[in-house]
Amino acid sequence: MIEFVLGGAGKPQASPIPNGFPGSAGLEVPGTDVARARQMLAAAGHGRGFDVDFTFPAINSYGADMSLVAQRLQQDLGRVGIRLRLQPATFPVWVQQMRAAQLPMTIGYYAPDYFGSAQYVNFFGIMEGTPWFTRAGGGNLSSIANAELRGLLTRALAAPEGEREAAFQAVARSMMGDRIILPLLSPDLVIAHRPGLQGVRYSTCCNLPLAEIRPR
Amino acid sequence: MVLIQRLLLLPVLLLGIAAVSFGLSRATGVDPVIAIVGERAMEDPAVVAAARAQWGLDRPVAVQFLRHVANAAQGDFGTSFRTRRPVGTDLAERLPATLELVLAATLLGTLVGAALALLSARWPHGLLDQAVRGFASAGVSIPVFLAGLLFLWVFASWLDWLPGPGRLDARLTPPPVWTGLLLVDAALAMDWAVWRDAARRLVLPAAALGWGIAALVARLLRATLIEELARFHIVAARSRGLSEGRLLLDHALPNAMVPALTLISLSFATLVAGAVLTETVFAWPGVGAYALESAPTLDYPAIMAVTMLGGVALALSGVVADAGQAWLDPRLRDR
Repeated sequence: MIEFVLGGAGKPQASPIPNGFPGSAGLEVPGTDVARARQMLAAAGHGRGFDVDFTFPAINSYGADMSLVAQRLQQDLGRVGIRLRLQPATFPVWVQQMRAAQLPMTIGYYAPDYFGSAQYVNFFGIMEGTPWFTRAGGGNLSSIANAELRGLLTRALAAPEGEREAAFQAVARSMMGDRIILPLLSPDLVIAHRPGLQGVRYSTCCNLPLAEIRPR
Repeated sequence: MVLIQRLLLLPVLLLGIAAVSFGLSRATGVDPVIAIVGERAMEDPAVVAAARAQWGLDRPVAVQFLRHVANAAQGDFGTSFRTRRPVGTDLAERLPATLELVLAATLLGTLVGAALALLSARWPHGLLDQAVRGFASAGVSIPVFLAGLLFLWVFASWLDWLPGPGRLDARLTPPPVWTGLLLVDAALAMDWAVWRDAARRLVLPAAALGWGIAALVARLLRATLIEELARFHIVAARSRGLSEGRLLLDHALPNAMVPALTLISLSFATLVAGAVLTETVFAWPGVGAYALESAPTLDYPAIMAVTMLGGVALALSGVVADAGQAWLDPRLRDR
């Protein structure tokens, strides 16, 4: 996926909490096991696979072309019999359908507002009151809610400095266990500048703080 | 009189265009607030309500339309949802780039098309005529984006004769803006490095766009020239010893150009708001690219302004075509 979409300029990500953020260290990225996937599908009564409408925004986000991601997903899932019917949509149409929980499957992106993991939990966590709980159909099927997630988040936010990493790791593992939000890739950011400039740096919230850039 | 009538009808035409584009935009059923506040902020009802109030989207649709028309009549096309700037400012920046491209394409297409038509009509049914007709067929058949990509591949990549996409080399400083037309502004500032670069970068997109115009002009003009050359006054002039060149240029061409003028004017007007594909292939920062960026985000003010710009261009092209025809054909001046 990373080679196909980003030309290799990216990294896999294990949980909805991105690489480098509190709680992301040491998490295992799921491997590929086509045979086991087929077995699991057969055991669930889908031995011949099934079809899924896959609506996605036809945009390029941080270098990741969603059309390419969708095509790669179609190829990968096709190997186990899951047939995606790709339906590109403009961004506003996609958002409207997604917020109305009309999409059985989709892809999206997220860029942080600050350096902190709680924003990812409050957005992607499958618990009452979060956007993705509603978008995943939680309004009609409240049983998908992750009962322990809110408690884990509260403990992580209250944890002292030395324990915060472990606390957020527990949050991340809990989110991974939901198997509803599946991280695909984390694009590398490449910033090039002339030697005569200083102050060029990446910022998690601003990408590139222009006000700090000046000639040497 | 006809010209005056056309100009008086222009506001009615624009009102119709505004109504249709407004209606079609709203008919998508997608909430335009999404484009304004973004995906995450849509989860906050207070933000959504504030955005609707600020952008007038909380008013009834009919009121929104009437406000838009009233503002547009005063030259205010609203603020772009996407750029957050007045649409008029966006268009003022973009329009010169498109005008420069379309003017160059129209001029190139007209000159090449007329030259080919003259050669073709001079020696009809010969090898040259066949070649011209083949060129014309290719020009109307090959999509403009494919022509653009082919030209880029051949002349910019393979032969390296001309630069690639973009209006100006990023390492050059643009000249002060007087007209917005890079060639004119660079000449006024006597910045010949910029002028040369801008001129070289204009060749390929103008050729891609102009090929279609040249094809249409060549086809039409060839047919009308052959008709003209068979008329009695040409036969009479030929019998008095006029050269074929003078017959073609002085006697046949002015009459044959009358229908071609309408074609050229319409082509120009259509391209003002419609050179989307060429501007995309060549990364040309014009109105077409602006429309392409605005449409997927449902940027209503921008979409409507570009549509109305296209309408104005088409209406004015009719006026220009009529004036040109009256100049060429004195019989039309009495109208």
